Amino acid sequence: MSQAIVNGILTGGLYAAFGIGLSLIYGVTRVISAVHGAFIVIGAYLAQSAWMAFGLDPFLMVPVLLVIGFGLGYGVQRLFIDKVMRRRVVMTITLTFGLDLIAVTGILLVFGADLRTISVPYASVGFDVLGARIPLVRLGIFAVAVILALGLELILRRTQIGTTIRAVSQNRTAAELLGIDTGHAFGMAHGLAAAVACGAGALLALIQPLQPFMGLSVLLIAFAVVVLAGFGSIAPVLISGMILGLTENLAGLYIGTEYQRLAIFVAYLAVASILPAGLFGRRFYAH
Amino acid sequence: MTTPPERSTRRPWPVLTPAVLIMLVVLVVVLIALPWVLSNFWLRVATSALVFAALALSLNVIMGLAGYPALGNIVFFGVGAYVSGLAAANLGLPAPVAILLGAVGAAIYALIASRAMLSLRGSYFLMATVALNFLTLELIVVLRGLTRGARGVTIPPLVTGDPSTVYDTFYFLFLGLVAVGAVVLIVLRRSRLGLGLLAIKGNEDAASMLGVPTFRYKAIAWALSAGLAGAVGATHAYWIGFIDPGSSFDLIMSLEVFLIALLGGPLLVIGPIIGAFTFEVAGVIAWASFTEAHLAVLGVLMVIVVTYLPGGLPELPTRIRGIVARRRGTHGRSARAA
Amino acid sequence: MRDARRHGVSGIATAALVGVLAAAVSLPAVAQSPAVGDPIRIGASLALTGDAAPDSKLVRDGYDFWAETVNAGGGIVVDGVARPIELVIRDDGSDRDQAARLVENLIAEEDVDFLLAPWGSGNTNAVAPIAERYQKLMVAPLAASDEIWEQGYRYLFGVLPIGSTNMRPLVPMVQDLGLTRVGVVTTDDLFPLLAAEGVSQQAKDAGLEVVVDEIYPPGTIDVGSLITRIQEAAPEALAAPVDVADALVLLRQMKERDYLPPILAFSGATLVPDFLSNAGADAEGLFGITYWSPALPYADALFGSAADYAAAFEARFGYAPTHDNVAASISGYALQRGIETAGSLDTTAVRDGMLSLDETTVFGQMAFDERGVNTGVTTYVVQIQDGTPVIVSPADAAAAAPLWPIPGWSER
Repeated sequence: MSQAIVNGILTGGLYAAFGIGLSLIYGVTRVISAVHGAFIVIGAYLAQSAWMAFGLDPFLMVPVLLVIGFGLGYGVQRLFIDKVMRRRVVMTITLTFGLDLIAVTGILLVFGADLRTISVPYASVGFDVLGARIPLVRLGIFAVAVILALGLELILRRTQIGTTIRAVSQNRTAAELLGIDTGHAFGMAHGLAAAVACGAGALLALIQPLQPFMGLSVLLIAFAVVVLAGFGSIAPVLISGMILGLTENLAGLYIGTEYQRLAIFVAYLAVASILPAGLFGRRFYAH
Repeated sequence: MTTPPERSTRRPWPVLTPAVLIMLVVLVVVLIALPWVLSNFWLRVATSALVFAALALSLNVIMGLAGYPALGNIVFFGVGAYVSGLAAANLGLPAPVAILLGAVGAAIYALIASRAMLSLRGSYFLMATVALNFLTLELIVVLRGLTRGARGVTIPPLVTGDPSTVYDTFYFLFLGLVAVGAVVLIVLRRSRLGLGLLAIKGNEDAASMLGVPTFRYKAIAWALSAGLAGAVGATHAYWIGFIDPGSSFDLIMSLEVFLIALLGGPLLVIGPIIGAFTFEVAGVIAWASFTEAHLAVLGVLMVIVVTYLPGGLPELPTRIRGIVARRRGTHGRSARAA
Repeated sequence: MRDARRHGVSGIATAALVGVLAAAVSLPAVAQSPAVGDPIRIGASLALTGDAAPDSKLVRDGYDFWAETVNAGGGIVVDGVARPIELVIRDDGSDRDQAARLVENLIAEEDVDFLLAPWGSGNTNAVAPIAERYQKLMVAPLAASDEIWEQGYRYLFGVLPIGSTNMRPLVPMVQDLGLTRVGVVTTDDLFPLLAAEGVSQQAKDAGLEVVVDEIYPPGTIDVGSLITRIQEAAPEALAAPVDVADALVLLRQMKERDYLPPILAFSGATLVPDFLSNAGADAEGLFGITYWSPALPYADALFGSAADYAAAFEARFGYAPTHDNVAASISGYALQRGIETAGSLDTTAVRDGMLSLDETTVFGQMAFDERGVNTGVTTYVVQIQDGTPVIVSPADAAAAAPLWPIPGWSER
């Protein structure tokens, strides 16, 4: 039991890191970005490559990935999404899924289909607390995920960029009248979201063998996290990630491991249909 | 936050003008004649096109008419395949009964899901349908005593004989389903229900205030959509001869259907048929020339359609004329409009 | 791109090397120097991209190696004419519909003479009905699902034993070691489920206690609860017939938890190059199942000995072959022997030829029953000892004794 709770919380942190960017993009631009999973996978592959080529620890690669991810997100927003942002969700989801398929093919052609992993020398280090084992790697992943989330929150609340992003998400037309370059602001928002996604990729690479087509399952977890959290809010995303992690682990322990994934989708649909605004009510960055 | 720009690009419904009528007649004649013209390989391509056309027609009932973006609608294809497949393989029911059961089963499944899901709108509904698809996939996997789970189900053959007989049979079966879909859409469009659905697409709250029983209408539309998708899935199961969870609830296939519906644009009936054939033929060519990158070809197509052809294929002539005009007229100037 | 590279300059060089080796082996065929005829076209739809791409690569390399070896020796002699092999391989992108369509195209448009199957039971299931419809012979290297062989397909042959028998040899080994408590965990997938059911049943029949018997979703990121369940049941030997990615996840998370059962056996995954390169030193001591090893005393006229096959294959492709590769090569060879026995390319004659085979190949004994299943193959338990897979059971083929318990994580 204590082990399942520890696992659930630690893995939940990672799930939250998958979802945060998706939530931010939707909150600001009203676009569900299906290319989000690809950002995470790209981050994972880059972390693995850096580890393989230079022996660079994936945790140390995170800052680099934040920069790369930011560039990717900004570029995708300005080059592709900007033009169609105001269209129906049918259009934006088709566009972003299209970009996802292109990205996945790119990953396949660059990195190949063979499995890739990272095995850090401290993989078996851990502590025993109250009968539960806390692996150092998992603790590190959790800590970095939380730092990424809090960092994003700080940027949105305390910086000029954050204020601009919140302004355009609240009222685009008014922001435009005030002379704010909204395209740039949306680009910044998507950049920040993709930065976190890419950084989270390094964390994923620490625990999961990499395959070019893994983005969809990661994207589904991100969907589940943000549906639970309600779109466009950060602290609830963290909690939702942990709830999903706990759901998965407790269902695995008490109902049976074969129901683990089913439990996630049941939680996802139950919350979506009973509480469409998420577990925490509808809150956007602007508030 | 202002209201999300979900359905700002509402388009008028094209009336049955003589031009459209002629197109329809030509299309029907060509579709019926195809098996006598095509080789078995191309007949198989055409059959796939019909599968996608029928699925896009079924999607148009809920998406085209009511404006509900059911991205995970492939779930009903899978449910139909499984209901009929299990009915045929385990109970030994004859194919027509099994396929009918598949359609009814999928429609009932939609009605059950509608309680929970049709109160969601736009992006929320879209994501919920994706979740429903994967939840159902997991259910099929876990209930392996009933469904054989990941092992899959081998479906007894619907017809035996030489390949040509088999292919002709399936071609006409799917053509029949396309016809059913077309009739459903045309009849619906002219009915009170269809008008109600279009009102919902336009402004659901307003429609509700004007006395449209929005929930009931949406539920009926979704059940019809699901029933048709279920029938396609059931027939498809017989065609392929083997079903398993992964290939029955394939989100990529759902995306392809989505894209075909978009290619069709505002032409809810003829659009998907032309879109599906265009897509399949393009797919064969893409597969031959970009084998390793064929998914990227699909991706590029999706990006192009959304960015440059949001109105679908019917918009293509206007677009080309626009480009030609721009080349001639405003050459050298930045002609980039928002 | 990857394919282009593989068939590029370095490919030609290694092919030439292989050619020399193979020519040495099949000298008798060359000595007759028959007239060279049109190629025999053999089609296959494989998942060169998509989910199943890493698995399918093993199959593709196996097919290529067979065809190159045959061609280096001049080809298959039919009616006094040496006919080279032309493989017509298409990529189905791990998509069943596409696979079915491609096989259709291979038969109807490309006019291939025979077919080789895709990787895996699910994909084979999707294309077998088409081959059947056109009465084209198809040989499957890795279609181990029990059910596929109960369909009464006339034109389908398979070179592997059925899947439920896969991990059974583990049971006598565990018994010999005097252990009684075993566990079985597996992913919810076609082959893993079959293999798990088979070994679980076998263990119960042998009077062993199955203390944990779990199924979990393939691709699970967090297998923490599964490991907790295993730890609590404390099996002395754990069988986990999961694929390579899931095996890596399970092993990794056991390491994080500082837990390892005294005996841990994956199925074929233990020997796959992708697994060994990624697991590295963590693979030491792990058990696995194989149908083949280069150390076995098998031989045939085409490939020479098992060791010859391994050496030539590694020279050509840069990695040591596993039973997946050999099964693919042997699928081609089975077809070849059928053609040679029949002395023609007529489907019925070749089918009869294949059914009449009972001979040793580089893969062991080869004899097909009426269902088309190869009944001659023996299954071995291997263990990674000092970084190398060694056969440890059954005793008559064992090169070393099984070492257990596997050293714990802190003892490495």
